[in-house]
Amino acid sequence: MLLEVNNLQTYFQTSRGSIKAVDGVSIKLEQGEILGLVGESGCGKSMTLLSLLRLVPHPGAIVGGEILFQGGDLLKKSSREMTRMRGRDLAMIFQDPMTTLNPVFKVGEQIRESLRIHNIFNQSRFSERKRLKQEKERVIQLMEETGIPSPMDRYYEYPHQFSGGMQQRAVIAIALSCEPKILLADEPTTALDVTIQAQILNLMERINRSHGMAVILVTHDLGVAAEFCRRIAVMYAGKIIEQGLTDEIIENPLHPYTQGLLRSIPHIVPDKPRLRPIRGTVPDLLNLPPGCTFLPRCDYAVEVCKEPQEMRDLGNGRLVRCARYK
Amino acid sequence: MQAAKIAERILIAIPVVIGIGIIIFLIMRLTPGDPVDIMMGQAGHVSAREIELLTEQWHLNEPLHIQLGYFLRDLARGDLGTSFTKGRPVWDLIKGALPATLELALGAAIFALLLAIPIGVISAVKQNSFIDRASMTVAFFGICMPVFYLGIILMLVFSVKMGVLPTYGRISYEVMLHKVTGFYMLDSIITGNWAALGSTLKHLILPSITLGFPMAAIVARVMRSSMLEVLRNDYVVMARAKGLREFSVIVKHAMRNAMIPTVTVIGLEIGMLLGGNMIVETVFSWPGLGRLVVNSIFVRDYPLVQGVVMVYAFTFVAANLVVDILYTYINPKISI
Ligand SMILES: Nc1ncnc2c1ncn2[C@@H]1O[C@H](COP(=O)(O)OP(=O)(O)O)[C@@H](O)[C@H]1O
Ligand SMILES: [Mg+2]
Repeated sequence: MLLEVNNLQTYFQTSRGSIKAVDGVSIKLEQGEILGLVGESGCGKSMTLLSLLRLVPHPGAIVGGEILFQGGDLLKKSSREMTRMRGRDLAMIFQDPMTTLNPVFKVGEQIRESLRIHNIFNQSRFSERKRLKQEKERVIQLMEETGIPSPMDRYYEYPHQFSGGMQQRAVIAIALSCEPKILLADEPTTALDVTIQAQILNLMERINRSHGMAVILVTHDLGVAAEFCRRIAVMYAGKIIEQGLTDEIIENPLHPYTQGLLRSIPHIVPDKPRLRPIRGTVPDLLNLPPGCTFLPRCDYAVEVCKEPQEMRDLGNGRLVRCARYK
Repeated sequence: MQAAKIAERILIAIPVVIGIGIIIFLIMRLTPGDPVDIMMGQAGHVSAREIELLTEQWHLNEPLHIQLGYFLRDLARGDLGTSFTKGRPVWDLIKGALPATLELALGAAIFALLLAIPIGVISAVKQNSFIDRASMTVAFFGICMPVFYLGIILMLVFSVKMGVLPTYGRISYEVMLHKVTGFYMLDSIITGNWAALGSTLKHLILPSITLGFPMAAIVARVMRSSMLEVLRNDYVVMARAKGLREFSVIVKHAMRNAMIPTVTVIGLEIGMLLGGNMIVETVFSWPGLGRLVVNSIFVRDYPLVQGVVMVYAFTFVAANLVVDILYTYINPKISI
């Protein structure tokens, strides 16, 4: 197991109370696999990823759990050790490439910066000039690999001279630069045109194959997850409510929420043409129902749902948090 | 920015400077009080003949538009005229006073920036902390407190009570300084005169703080708010996610962006340091342009006032141009 997250809790302390953005999330990630983390916006996907990097923004904080990686708990590392691991062992790409690159630095330099931070070419026998040359060559190579055309010229351009898709490629090049073991991708295609989306997802799949880099792909689109991920974890109001192999989840969704999500995607289930959105709205994380958080929107709710529901292990990596399964 | 664009900007600025010249010309002449009367009043008993001579010599007997014509003709030749009261060419008087003003402006700018930029950054990074609240409260006073009031308070504390800093002038009478450029700091360094350098620095401190304080207050507030804005951006999170230390995230990635709006304000404020220093120069008896123009307004020395105002107009235009050029360097999205 490459990464094992146990009972991760990330809360925001606000004047109106404590928001449990990540409320006991447990996920496992195997070497080289793509795991999809799916859920409606506001359910805590981004905060889960940021927690893995220990970059939760103020006033949020990780209040519990463990993140086991390479034989240690990331939450127990000193902030210095953690800084050194970011970008080198775990890299992240973001939702909106337009705002992820720093507007005042040349794109090539922003890629080179991560090589410099982690001393990728820092053998003492190299002079600064030689080192710079090697770093630049590597940047050009990364730009080629991520499909940025004429990288020699584009190295010296600024982010605003790139299209959205090209910017996201540059961000991926940054993430790729230090060959991290895990790539955290937070809705990497949400802000892009549909045609570009497919290109970026294909690029990520290719990188996943050729580098054997594990990916956690966060998306609100179950269709995207179904296409690219080996396993899927469905998140609702800060909790994982169902987990399993992609095929099984798509063919036989267990949790009413997962079923609802599937029904609201037109093209995945062609023999069931009726498009039915989930009734009700995403719950307010400040006022969650005490029992199953999906209860107010659930068609199958019974008395026992008013109590908190544990995750049920159905074997073969299939997990579901619902009273209907024993 | 290419040379052609810069040249274009300078050409555009010329009508502005001339326009300001005409306005100040008219304002001076429409202000009650006649320069000849004032001068003669100070001189005591004078004959009607003398008054007539002076009036004629200064073209004050001619209609306004003819006078304006003379003024513009001289201006085109680069001639700012001769001071009524001092009898010397205006340009000589300005050249004599300009180094004092520039030296003070430089001192004030250094004080303001060294104080304001770090405070703005720290206040934003530690938003709502004690440092943030305290410095923003002080900045608030810095913006609304009259300059002469701050100057007098500083004088009271550091000169009268503690007796450590001088209250007027640029250098102590006891120190001899051979003047090369008119910039006393530079002159003392060139001539290796360390006593003079010390004295000059001591004389600079209080006026610099007084003049620079409002600028520091404004720049700190602007820096803080643009820093807060920048820190919300994804690229700051990205910089951290790359593995950059927090210090580099703030100083390299965030500050570079936060400086973009701040530079505009700094440019305008530096214009203010050069053109808005009459009060400070008067309070500290600083022999610069500000005091020169104040005194010449009192005696209606038209050419001198006009000359100094032209210099002010020129400085403002130049400061703006420098800011625009600088802007293209720090903001890659802009190319004028
Ligand atoms: N700065 C913040 N202050 C307070 N609450 C926040 C903040 N950021 C996020 N949250 C809470 O965390 C929840 C999860 O946010 P996020 O992880 O960004 O959702 P997702 O990525 O799934 O759309 C949000 O619904 C919100 O209630
Ligand atoms: Mg998100």
